[in-house]
Amino acid sequence: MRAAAAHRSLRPAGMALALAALLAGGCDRLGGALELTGNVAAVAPQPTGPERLRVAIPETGARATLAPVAESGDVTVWQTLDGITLSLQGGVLIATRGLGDDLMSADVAGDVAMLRGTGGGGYYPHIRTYLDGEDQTVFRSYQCRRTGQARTTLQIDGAARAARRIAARCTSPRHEFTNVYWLDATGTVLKSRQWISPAMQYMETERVLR
Amino acid sequence: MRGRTGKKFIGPTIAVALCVAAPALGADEARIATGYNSYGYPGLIDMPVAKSRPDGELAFTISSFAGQTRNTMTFQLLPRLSGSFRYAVLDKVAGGGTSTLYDRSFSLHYRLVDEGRVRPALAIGLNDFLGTGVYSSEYVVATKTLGRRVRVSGGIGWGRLAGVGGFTNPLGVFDDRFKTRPQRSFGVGGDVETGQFFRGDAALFGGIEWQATDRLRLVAEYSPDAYPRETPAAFNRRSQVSLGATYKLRPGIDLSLRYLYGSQLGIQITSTLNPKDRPNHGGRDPAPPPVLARPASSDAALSWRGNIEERGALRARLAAALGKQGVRLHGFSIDGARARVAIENTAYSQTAQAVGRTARVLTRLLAAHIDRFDITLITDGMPVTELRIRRDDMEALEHDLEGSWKSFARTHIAAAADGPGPTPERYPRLDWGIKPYLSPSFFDPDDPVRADIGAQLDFAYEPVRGVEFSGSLRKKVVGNLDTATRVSNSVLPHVRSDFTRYDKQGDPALMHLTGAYYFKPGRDVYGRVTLGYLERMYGGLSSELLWKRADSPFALGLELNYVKQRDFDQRFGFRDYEVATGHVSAYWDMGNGFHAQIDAGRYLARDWGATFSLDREFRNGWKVGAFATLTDVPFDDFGEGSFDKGIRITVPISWLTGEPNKDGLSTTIRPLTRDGGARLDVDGRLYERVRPLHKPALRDGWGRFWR
Repeated sequence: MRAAAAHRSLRPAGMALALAALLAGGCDRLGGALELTGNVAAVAPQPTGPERLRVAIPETGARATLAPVAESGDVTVWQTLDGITLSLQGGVLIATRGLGDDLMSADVAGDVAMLRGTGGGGYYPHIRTYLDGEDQTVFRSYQCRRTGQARTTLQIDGAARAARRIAARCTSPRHEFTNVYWLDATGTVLKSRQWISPAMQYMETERVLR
Repeated sequence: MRGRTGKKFIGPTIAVALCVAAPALGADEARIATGYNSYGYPGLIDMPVAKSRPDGELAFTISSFAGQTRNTMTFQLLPRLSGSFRYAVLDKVAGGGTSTLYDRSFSLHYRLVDEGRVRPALAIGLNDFLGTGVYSSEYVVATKTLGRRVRVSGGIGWGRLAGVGGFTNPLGVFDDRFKTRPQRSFGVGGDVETGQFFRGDAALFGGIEWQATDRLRLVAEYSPDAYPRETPAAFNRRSQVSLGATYKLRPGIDLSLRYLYGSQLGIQITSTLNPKDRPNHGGRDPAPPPVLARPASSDAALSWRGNIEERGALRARLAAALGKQGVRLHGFSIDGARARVAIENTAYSQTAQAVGRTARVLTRLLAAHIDRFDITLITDGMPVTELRIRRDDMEALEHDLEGSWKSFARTHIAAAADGPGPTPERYPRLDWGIKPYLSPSFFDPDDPVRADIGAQLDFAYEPVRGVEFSGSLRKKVVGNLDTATRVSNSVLPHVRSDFTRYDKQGDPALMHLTGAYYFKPGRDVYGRVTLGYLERMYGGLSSELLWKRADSPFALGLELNYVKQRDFDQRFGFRDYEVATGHVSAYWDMGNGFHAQIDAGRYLARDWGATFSLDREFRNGWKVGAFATLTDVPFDDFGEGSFDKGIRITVPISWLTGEPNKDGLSTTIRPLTRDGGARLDVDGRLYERVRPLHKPALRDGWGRFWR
């Protein structure tokens, strides 16, 4: 996941060209030679349960399978083998780490209530925070609303499962996104497509049964 | 290796700077792009406009026509004020026959008034107010946007901008003195020539810009510049009207083609970057370990006996876990329900991130009955700051929307008295490494850019707390610094101006070899004593005391050195020049990212004076600053430039690579290296070591606490 992400989105093309003349290598090699990289190791995940989450980020071409590594209330932290974590609250993304353009935190109480059907069906607030280029917290506030609900059948690893598909659209003056969730009868999110950040765009998650 | 900024990293600055892709421009950019003119400040072709570029932007422009090449670096110091430093090569100019002139100059451009619905924007500017005055001019310019894609500018210029069509200075109504522009004392340059400002004849200029497409902008201007020394030797001026087209090749890179003065084709390349925009967003730091919440009722406390063996094993596990997070465990003890942990940040540009990761690791490893973490930040063996973090807050705020400021508010931050003593594993410690270096030299008229590339061996050995032996050896592989033939004509002791002899003879060169002792004589007082080969040109004894409170924007320092000049071959010998040099320093964190510093004292050439520095520091570690030193050396004795001055830039490696790294690549650009106002370049000065660990810096970086 990491390598793909790095090459597609985080490593602007062309800059290695200028360097080639100097060191006959790309920036990765320069970084290595100068001990610029590798200061912090990715921690190996210590799974706390048997579930797995399959995640793809189409924008960067990254895909990985994540294991749960921590639980706190209704928040589960999922981790890849190479040091990326996603924190989901009731199946809704509230934070990412290790992606670069990370979602730092989010208030998704309204989304969780909406998925449970206890939200009343109207608009609800949704707030996200990011870090800007100077490491200062930036708040993004949205108004969200359920825009679709349908019964459908999901295919996960060849097994068919009945699911409810719920779409929710979140709008701010400058930006909007639509998240889609597929829930089983108990309200567990089996599959989803959720907005992460401008550079990462959407992620697609799938609960893997094992 | 411990972070060292400054001289040793000059080389990689350039190499890595090339790695940076130009960041995207702001989404709110005006429909009509404001470009940089041939002098590198906001303008048309040669003329200015009353606009500014985005705050913080750094621009590098190269413009050339008819053998007139101008290389300019411009920094948007404030939203309204930009400053430029220019190195121009004027081929075939008149002045005792025809010759090539190499000229360094500074410019300032200030936007006085913003554009309104009717009112035009208004700006004022000064060009070449320090140098020898080739480009000396002043202007007042107004700019008005007409519709969506057209903008007109017009103004009045003095000096060089009143060469054609000049008329009697209208300011003459206030005072007849304005009517004549006094000659500049050409001799050595460098004076601030306030006597010339806005004096002599004035002339009108103007131009029009048309944003034809999002990427293409067409410009026509009328310039009153007569190019008095360039014509007719370098080119013939047939018209005062010039035409140009600027095309945005990609965000941050513009290419301009021009037809100038009715006879010449010109080209300009403009590259911009803004320190506020990271090329890699927040960085690709691997995710931190998640906080491990304690079970509601736990038996862990009962099972934890805390005997010596278990403590040793726990300490080893903690050191290993912190080490993976780029944090070095310096001390550890458990005192009832309180864990005392002393750490050194080896990886993060924001110390707050090291603190956050340490606290996360502690939640995973420590017994459940421990409910408070006292984290002491250490630099060079000295405890600087203590942070008290409640374990409950770590558990409660990890997934909180506003966890960042809430955890800052709930963390008690104060000056560290004395953290836990060093762990048995911490000392002694040896670090060493080999890396490439690149050492450039600028502005020699014979060859304006020279450089050496080679390998550098560094080592640092810490036998006990506070004591550090370190050294650095360079071996050149390829380069042409040794081809410089200019010899110093300085009438002062040659304390710096013999640098070419050091370049020629120092291969291999012992860059430094020192023993240093760092200590903390009081709660807010820090000390350093360094003995040995302190820098490439001087060896001896250097001592320093710094008083800095954890929460005060002011600090005071005192540095006393007794040094002897080293041999040109930079091995172990000395020349016979000795000097006692030292300074009293006052530091002021002005807020909003501006930092001022005054160092007053005795310099290497035994001259007395003071250095004034002003830096703008971005919260991600970028620094752009300028300094000037005035001493009792008369300007004529100083030689060309009149006094020492320069610009310095620090680029954080983490900004460039996106990887965690606390080091920065620093470079200082001096128009000239002379002997007056020269300071010792000793490593390990305390202010920059202590300040990142104090509360204001922690606060600015707290956004990364949970990262």
